[in-house]
Amino acid sequence: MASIRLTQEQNLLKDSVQRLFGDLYSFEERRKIVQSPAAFSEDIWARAAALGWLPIPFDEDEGGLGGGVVDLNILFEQIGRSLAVEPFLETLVAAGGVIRRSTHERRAEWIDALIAGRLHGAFACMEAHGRCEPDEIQTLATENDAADGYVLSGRKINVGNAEQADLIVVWSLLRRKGGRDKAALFAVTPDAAKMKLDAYTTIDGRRAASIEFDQTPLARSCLLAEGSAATRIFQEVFSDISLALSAEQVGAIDALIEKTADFARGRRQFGSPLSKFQAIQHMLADMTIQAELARSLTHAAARAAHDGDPDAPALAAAARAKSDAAGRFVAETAIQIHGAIGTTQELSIGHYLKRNLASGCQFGGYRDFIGRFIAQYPLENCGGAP
Amino acid sequence: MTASAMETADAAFRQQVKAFLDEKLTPDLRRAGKMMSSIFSDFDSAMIWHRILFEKGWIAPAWPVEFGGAGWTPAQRVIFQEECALAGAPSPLPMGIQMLGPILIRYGSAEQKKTLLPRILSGEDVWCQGYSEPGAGSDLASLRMKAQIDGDAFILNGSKIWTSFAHHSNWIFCLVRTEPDVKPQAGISFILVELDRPGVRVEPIVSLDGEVEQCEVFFDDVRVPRENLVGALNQGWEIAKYLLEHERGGYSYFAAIGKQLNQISELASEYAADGYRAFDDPVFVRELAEAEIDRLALKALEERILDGAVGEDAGVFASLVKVIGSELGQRVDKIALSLLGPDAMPVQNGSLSFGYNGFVRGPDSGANIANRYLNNRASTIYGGTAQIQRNIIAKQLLRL
Repeated sequence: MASIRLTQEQNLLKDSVQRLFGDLYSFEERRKIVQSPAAFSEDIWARAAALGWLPIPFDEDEGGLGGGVVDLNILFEQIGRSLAVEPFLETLVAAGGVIRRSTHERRAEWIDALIAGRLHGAFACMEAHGRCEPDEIQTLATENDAADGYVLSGRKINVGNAEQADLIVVWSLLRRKGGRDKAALFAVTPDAAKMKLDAYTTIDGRRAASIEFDQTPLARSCLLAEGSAATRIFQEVFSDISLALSAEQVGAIDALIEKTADFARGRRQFGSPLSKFQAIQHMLADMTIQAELARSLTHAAARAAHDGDPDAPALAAAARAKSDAAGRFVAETAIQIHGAIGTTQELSIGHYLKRNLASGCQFGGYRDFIGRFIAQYPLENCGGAP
Repeated sequence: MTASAMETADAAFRQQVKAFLDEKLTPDLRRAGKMMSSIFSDFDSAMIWHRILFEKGWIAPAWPVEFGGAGWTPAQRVIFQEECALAGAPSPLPMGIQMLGPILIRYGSAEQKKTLLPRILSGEDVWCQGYSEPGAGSDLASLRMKAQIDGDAFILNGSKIWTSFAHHSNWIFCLVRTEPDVKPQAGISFILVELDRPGVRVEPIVSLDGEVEQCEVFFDDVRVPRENLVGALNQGWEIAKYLLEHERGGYSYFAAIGKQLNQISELASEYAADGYRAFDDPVFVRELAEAEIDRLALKALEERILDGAVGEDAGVFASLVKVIGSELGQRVDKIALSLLGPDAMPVQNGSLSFGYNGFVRGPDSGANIANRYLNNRASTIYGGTAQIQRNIIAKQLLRL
């Protein structure tokens, strides 16, 4: 049985992340950050670069720390706790994850810039119909001699960090002359012609955009990967995204339980603290049960991904589904225990619910991940194969 | 040992267990294991399998080797339980091996260890647990059965209820009140009683599935010698708590739920042969997928606990696992029942007995499902109800 205890380096990372968010990311501070024009903190981003969080997933010989999903999950649990809005998911896990798995000639240059905090990324993944799966992609790049490259058409929605991104990774189909359509990943820069961003504020206070590609010309050098290589990269990155979002929910759940238990101890009604009412105790016990299931499955899925276990993609989908449902249940129950005040913008409690909601819109929600699990897991062998 | 050497050793151990099960599990025993409609096997197959494990030296996985245990690591114990569940082995009765054994090893006198432990191992003695009383269920400390000291003996009066397999047992271990005028927990002792002593009467109780597993045991001026006391006088509550933790913590829920899910899959393929393809039914597939995800999460949680990741909270995490495991088990029962559909209607208790190979309505692998569904309603009640476990989580983990 693989041990799930953290190494010394991982404990140091955890301390560093806890300290920074603890010192600089009070709910008040977050409110100011969310209301600023960029809707995230350049200061936090610069500190994340200085403290060595941005190099986490990159190989050591290209300036990274050679960390894996377990290390990323430490970061994302704290992000979830603090409701941090900085685009770690989009830049580090999604765009960074595609770049580092590609063989593009500018790979090293991009990774240097990303690690230094100078390059922001976005992942235009979800189609207008709300799905990301390889066999449901409609956005199409057609090889085109006149453009000496490709022409891209289609519509992507819910692209986080799109306005800030120096590099937008686009998940699409590629039609070469005389060939069959295949999967592809492109790197598109914000100055591309015939590309329209409709940016908006998300329900959890971040910025995202719909992107319309209408015969957008792309140079040949924009291609990051095609065919089975592109699909493999997509699947690996999508797994990393699933695990990071699972870890984020686990952190959010921990914060919600702590805050709600504290509230119940302090709030008196009918002459007694709420925490002494058995109805309230059982609600908090149920929140704890869901927390431990989500945490255990998320850690096991991260470990499986780290070990290259063949079940890893299915486990990542399972962890994402479980943590999404657990996070939703815990946030809803936390609001119920807080009573009327829990339904206001004043308290952080409801913002955890909104984060749960928004994160389920970006790369798919509970139903999508149950579907992914069903597609990838041998359900005929449920219970463990004899 | 390094981590990878340990994994290699565990894999080798798993192979050894598989080979043993392949050799020793006869078709009758396998069917008996599969047809369990409660956490207990039927008495006959439980005892046959007990003796086979005893001969192999594997009957007591968690006991130290010096007392005849297998001396396995926690990881090996889980592997053994997983493989037994997957192979459809019957379960030996847990009262002697899993409950009383660890108590005697920890609290028993030299004489008790010498005479009683070997007879638990061999299956010569069959034990039952005298804990609950008609007026003391989850609120165990309120128990009233009296043990009065009379010279070198105790005189017992009162009754015990929900004593599983008392009608097949020759011994009972009891919690009794030896001190009436102190805090309830402080006046309880742990006593061993032969069931053939004058004044003991065992009355069977019929459960919802029409089977007898539970009994009520009456004690009317029953005289037992002082040597039958375990530990010190009035140390019973401490022993009970130790035992409760063993009872809760010594059982792997994910393996038991895995066995239930295996059966559902087998049942679905039997129905498919008849023309009903459950795996094409999106409602069934979604329910099954959600249950399997929760089993994987529970497995990961049990592994974290076994790995020591929760440290000194291990006791309260046993409560957490008990709530999750018992409620998930009941959910999986209902998926099985919905798959069985109209075939749950007839009573088929006869087809569950050891050695049966006659007619079964519906697929053979589904004959126990309705009974197990009914029987398993008890799983969120025994060993401290799901509500008591939530109280424990609230108080001990959340400090409410």
